[in-house]
Amino acid sequence: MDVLEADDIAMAYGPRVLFRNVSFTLTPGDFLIVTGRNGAGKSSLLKILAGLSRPIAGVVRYPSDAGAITNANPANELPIGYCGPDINIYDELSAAENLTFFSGLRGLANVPVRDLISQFGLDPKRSSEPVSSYSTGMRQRLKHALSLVGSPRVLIWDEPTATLDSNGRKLAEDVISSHTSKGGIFIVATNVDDEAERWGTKKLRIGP
Amino acid sequence: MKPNAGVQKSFGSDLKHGLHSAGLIFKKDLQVEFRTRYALGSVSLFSLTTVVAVSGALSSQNLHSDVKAALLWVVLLFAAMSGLARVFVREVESGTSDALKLYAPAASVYAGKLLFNLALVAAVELITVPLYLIVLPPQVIHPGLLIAVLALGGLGLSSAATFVAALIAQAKSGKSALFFTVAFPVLMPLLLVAVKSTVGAFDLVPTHESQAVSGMYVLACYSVVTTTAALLLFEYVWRD
Amino acid sequence: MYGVIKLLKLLLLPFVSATIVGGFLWLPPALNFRSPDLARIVVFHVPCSIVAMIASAVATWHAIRYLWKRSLIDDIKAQGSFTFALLLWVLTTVTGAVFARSQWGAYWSWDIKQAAILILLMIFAAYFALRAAMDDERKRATLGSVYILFALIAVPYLTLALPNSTNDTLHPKGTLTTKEGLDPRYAIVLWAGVVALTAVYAWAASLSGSIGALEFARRQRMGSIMAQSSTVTIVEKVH
Repeated sequence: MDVLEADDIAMAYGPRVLFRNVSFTLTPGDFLIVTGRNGAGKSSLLKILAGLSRPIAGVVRYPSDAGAITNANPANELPIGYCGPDINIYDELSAAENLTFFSGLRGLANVPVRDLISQFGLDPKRSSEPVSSYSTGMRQRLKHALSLVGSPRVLIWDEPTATLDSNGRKLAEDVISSHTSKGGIFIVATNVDDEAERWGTKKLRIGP
Repeated sequence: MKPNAGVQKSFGSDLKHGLHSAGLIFKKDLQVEFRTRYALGSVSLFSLTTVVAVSGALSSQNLHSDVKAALLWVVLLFAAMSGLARVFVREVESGTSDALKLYAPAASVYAGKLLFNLALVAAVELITVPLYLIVLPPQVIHPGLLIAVLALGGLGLSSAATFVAALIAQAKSGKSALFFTVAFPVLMPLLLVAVKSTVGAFDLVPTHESQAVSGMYVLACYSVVTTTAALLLFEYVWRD
Repeated sequence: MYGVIKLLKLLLLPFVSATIVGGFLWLPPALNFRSPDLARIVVFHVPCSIVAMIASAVATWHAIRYLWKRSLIDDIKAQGSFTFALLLWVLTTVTGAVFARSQWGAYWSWDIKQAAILILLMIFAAYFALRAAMDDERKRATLGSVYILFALIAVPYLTLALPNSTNDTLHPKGTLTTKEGLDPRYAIVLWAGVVALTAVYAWAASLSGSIGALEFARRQRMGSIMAQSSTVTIVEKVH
């Protein structure tokens, strides 16, 4: 079961319905771009796809070797890489400790933490400093690195380049194309017009 | 890219994974605590000042073992409660709880946080009880009984408080007050039995002692029931 | 069927009235009690506690259903029954305190049964505090239902196990079954009271559930109107 299938998803915040009847299928190598005005519900949709939120209707099915998994608790069944404004790392721990901790929670041992850190342009010599000393851009890179832990099939990034410099943005694009070319699925929400234009094999717009 | 190889879906490996993750969470919380020293500092200060205040106000009185037992548990309870909610409230306030939800199995999160709170309660007891016994010495001390009551009472306290902490952590404001409001009624039965049992440890009346021993069973039951209920229900609290 | 229910509802008022009036006028004063006239409050006290238990159980059932099916109607019903349960527990406590005053001289003596019921009342009150602190409707429902399940494990313990664990309590034991010296008419009025109060509770609970459902539907309609302006378009882009 290779595809990620969203089936009739609806989400509301209190009485306000954000979107409904959202259905799509993503095949390996697909790159979905989600656009919409601020507050339209992009982040909500991404959180539903990541399994962090429960939609008020509909079901998401994930690709896995063991057959489709519906969005009861995908995080327990298979790793999904998610990076968004709601995800934070532990300020008191260092970059290396953060990566080791989270990968250990997924049951992974001996994760090449230093490689991951340098892959994302972070200074390995600073990898034992507590993250509180990092800038927002560096933190964002670390969060991106974290989402790759466990080689998830599905990667979901919410406004990935918001705090990155041009190097960081290029890096993000490289990661995306590398992941999709290996058969992974990528989902990105963005407000950047340029990214919305150039990126993506499928587009989803919430709102007018 | 090698697609995610499905984890062996056996109960044994799930359990091992769960326990390992719980240990990691416990270790992480200890690490963070040692680097900030927030919780231990505030609860120690609380218990020390309370014990000193109580002994200062009462040392001239000749108190019954009832009162001494009750006072001990009130100090322990309030001191512990001032730090027990941190395990979840801090995760929510620093924004790391979503990351934890994404990476860790739910039961491991409860178990790991419970371990941390057990350590916290143990630390509070280690600081408070000896000092208390010095400034407000009871007529007699049965050490075995006292240690057993403190251990079982502390276990029940941690179990219930950890679960309530998870419940209130998602409140939009007023979490401290809410924690006390929700946790105290749930902890009252524990408190009553623990105090009764401590009375047995503090005097020589034989009925008190037998009451204390039967109280142990109640405390143990409370801990078992609370932890079981918490483990079963935690999934619903933790996941949306 | 509908006609039968309507008839029963019409009969409920005279039935409840008969029970109350019977409790005051028909029942003989209870012998062997300090205040034989006031002791008749037992026929009000016991039905309150029984129906409070029933309401608590119904609330628990709806809480389980909510967590299972995630339908907010179940949460509305759980909250409704929970509120009625709290009201009935308060009435139980008050009627018990009045009896305690007449029989033993004090409204409140920290008897184990009284301490237990007080803890119970606090557990119930905390539910509302917990709900009020949440801003999202679904979070309120989920956490409320979880709390009902967690905290109400304590109910059988507090109402049955704890007070019966010791003989050092003033509360009479086994009053439901038999008690010497109590006129058999007491049993009749008491059980009639249970039936009457259960019927009143059931009716009130179903009304509150209907009101809640209507309000919920209205909120949903308003929300849907706002959603119509939001569309989702999926475009397949060919590279």
